[in-house]
Amino acid sequence: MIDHHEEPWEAEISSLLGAMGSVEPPEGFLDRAVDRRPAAAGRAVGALLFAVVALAAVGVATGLTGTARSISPDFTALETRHRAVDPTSSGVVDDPRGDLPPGVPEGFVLVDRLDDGAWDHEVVARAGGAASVFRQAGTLDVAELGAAGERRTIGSTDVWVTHADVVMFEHEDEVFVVVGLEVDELVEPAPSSVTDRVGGFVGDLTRELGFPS
Amino acid sequence: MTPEVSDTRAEAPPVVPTWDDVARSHGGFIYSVAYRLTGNHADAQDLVQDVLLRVRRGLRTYQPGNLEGWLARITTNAFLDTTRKKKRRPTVALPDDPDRVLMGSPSADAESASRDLPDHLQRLLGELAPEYRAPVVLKDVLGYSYDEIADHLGVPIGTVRSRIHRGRAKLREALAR
Repeated sequence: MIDHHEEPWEAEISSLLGAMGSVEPPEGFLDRAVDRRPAAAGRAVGALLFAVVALAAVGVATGLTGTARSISPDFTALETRHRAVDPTSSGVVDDPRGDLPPGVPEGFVLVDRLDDGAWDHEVVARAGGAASVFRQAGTLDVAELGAAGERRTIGSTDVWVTHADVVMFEHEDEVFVVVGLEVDELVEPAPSSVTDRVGGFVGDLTRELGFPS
Repeated sequence: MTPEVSDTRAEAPPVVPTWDDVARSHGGFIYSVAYRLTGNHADAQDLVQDVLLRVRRGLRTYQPGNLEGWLARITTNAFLDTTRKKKRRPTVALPDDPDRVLMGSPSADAESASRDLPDHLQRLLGELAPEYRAPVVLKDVLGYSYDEIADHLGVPIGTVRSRIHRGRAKLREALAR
């Protein structure tokens, strides 16, 4: 729509932009997005929060994990996200709570933490370069990985390595995707303490319920 | 005597769509907006995931009305939130087809130039700062009014006009290069 205050050249730019048309999502993307629907939040928020925190504590204590989302990482997109990171501009991460992500060996430092949509993206670096660790709550959809790579182990942890050396594994109800580190460099993910796990669960829950984290 | 005429058709009460309805029926719209704002498929996909999460929460209080307007508002604000978060350490998203960009010298062939114009425009849009890009996309790509954009972005209408004008001016300069 042309505005009366617009100059002719503005109308021309507007017309060019208006003719760009819509962009279709990649085939299957929306189906996958629907399949990974976010969990429903409760209505009686206060009571539910209390109840679920209690259940979480029981779950952690007893090893119950409940139903988790099945995730098939788009590792090509995550590689792109990793390549977009410029390690030379990274400083020390603002949040001092940040330990190294699971699987990352000593010698690296956590230099940044980004929110890449559904994935939490942690950037680690050492003198030789940077790596990205993407994490998301859920389980790895091994069937969907197909012939994209091969199964390996780090200690007693199963990992899946793509032909492009992207490493994926599950650890404590989360899926991890490591880009920029070869599988032989990774260390077996160490179990976190019960306190950390309850804290992480509560943090996820409060975010889902819309509370400030 | 003229019989009294009454409209017996009862108006259907407004229906709040389900999350599935929104994701399946309007996911393409959200994706298109996300792509125009981010300029590449990887970021657009991440943005759509974020928007769908926000839709899930927002449907609890959504008042039936202009659904796509509501989705455009959520998508734009999610985009601006993301860019603000990343501002402390900027990253440069790679184009979807690096070869085409590296080889992207303007073609002498007019037909080819015309065919490539949307991609070229999209790249130039991506060079605009987010605070200019968002209102330009809302106005010129999606066709919202200045009032609606001011409402979507939560800024005065004068600011919207100014940003759109400056955004278009930057695009004009870039196109002339």
